[in-house]
Amino acid sequence: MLVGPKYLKARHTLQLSSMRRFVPRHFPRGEEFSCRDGEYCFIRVFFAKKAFMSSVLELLLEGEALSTKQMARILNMTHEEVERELEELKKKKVLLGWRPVLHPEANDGLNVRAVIEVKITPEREGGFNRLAERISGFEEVESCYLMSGGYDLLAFVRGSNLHDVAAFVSERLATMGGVLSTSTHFLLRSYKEQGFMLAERNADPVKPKVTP
Amino acid sequence: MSELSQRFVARHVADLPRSGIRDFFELVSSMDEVISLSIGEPDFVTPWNIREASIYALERGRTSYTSNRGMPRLCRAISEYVEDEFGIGYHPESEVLVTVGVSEALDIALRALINPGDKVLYHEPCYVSYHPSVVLAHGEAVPVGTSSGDAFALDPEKLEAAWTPGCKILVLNFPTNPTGGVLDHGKLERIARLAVEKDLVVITDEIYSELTFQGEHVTIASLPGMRERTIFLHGFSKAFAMTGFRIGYACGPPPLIESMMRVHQYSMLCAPILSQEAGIEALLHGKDSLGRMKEQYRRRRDFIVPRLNELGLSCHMPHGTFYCFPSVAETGLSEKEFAVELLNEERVAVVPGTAFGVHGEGFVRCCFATSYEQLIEATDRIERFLEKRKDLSK
Ligand SMILES: Cc1ncc(COP(=O)(O)O)c(C=O)c1O
Repeated sequence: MLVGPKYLKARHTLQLSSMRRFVPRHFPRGEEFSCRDGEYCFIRVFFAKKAFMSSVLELLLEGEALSTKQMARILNMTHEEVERELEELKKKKVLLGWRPVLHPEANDGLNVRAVIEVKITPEREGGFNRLAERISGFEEVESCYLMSGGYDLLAFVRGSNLHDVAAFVSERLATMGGVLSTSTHFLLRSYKEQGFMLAERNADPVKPKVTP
Repeated sequence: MSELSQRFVARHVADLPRSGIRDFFELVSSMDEVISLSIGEPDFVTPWNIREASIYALERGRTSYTSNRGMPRLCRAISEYVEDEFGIGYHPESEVLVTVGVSEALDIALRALINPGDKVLYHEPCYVSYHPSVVLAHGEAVPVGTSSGDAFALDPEKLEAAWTPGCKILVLNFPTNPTGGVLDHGKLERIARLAVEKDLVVITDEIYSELTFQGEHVTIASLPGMRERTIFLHGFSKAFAMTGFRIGYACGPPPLIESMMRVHQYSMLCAPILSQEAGIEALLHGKDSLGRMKEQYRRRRDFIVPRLNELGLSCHMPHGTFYCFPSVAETGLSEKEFAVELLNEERVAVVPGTAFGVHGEGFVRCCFATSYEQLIEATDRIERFLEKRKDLSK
């Protein structure tokens, strides 16, 4: 099923090739063009939502924690077939990996989180990529994105205390060549964590166990 | 019967049989750690955007009555939705009536159409309220059995055979609660021709139509000659997981809708305004959520039905709804014994088929709108239950 067109907007011509990289190769491209509009260029791609969806992936995305054995039973596949499909998804880099989603206040030793807006100078070759990858390399950085708008990169970082995070910003990040400025915001409270609502729901079961 | 009820309660009410669902409900409620496959509603909560629309309306102080017919915006949204999804155009001002669920719509349709003694044809096993609703409207119920051999479709020949002079109404519900049966185009056309020939008015309960997994759902209202004799009932409960909002609607030719409106305006006045606001949001922006939920039901169906067959409970693949209707005949138990023993021994609740009419004999209804983990556990427990019985009989 084609759901598009979607326009990706890139700030520099050099971005064009790297933006293309974000679109998996097996996406059918209905139409693709670039045009210079001042310093912007546009890539038009048709995203195929279902094209890369395997049944295993669809099941995973429902969000219920299931073992591969259980998945095999639900999908009427053999255990090996499920494993093979998961391997395939990993190989294609559709599935990057697994990790538990923790309550942000569960004490895992890294309880201080911040988002940092970073302005950087793009480079002649590679645009923002080299610096973005360097910044992403630090263990403190959980995720890092190139952004449109008032700054270039948005980095999510974690540390065990305020001091840790401050030290990371002032000593490592801000001092890096090409980093023009940083602006750090600490996360105070989480209401939703990767799809999980955190507020306690009233556990009183109102739903009757038998209904017509 | 107590002396008081004998003195005061109307005969036709006192004579209504107790609902099989209610008996079973009481039994299940007295137990802990039951996995329930006996729920007739989605396990999803209503999508947030729909709930939020209701909250917004509440915040803005929209707490009044609405027009008897329903809010004009909702009637327009219904008219457009039915046109897009079912291919029939109903005028939002004269052919749409917003009701308190399909339950009310069915009740007032029957009350508006039935003269005492008029006969009402419907297929069975069916939704629990059809028979009592007919009786309460002083009609005479004429159930027509459907069977697993026909995948619980209504056989036009059986319908014709069941017809007798005095039959005025035909109630249809495809996909069907509790069987998941659907009607193919050929049968639908023959039933439509029969309705014209016998001059029947058709009430079609379309509440599960969005949850059709195979083939395209066609409503009888869209067939030639049917629009003017059909009352199309639909609601939000199942497709949009909105059972608690209590909202639905009826569409039909103006004189029939007007007749229902007469009953509705004095008995219900209007559907709750907060639910109407939610209904608008559901129709305008609910399609994505609906699609996602439907996919998840389909995957659950594809798991549970082969699994039940594998266990020896023969079960046809339902083409719609979130119910499957396996036969328990192989076990040598009646449907009631099966349900009660399974509950006592393994704490899994399924509904005996006879709760949906005598033609449900030998079957149980399993609702698969629940988590995979529960479905896996429930079917494993059923397996253990059946194994134990086999061992005993050796
Ligand atoms: C076939 C059928 N019709 C009507 C209803 C009631 O629907 P509503 O919630 O819109 O009153 C149900 C609910 O289980 C049903 O299964």
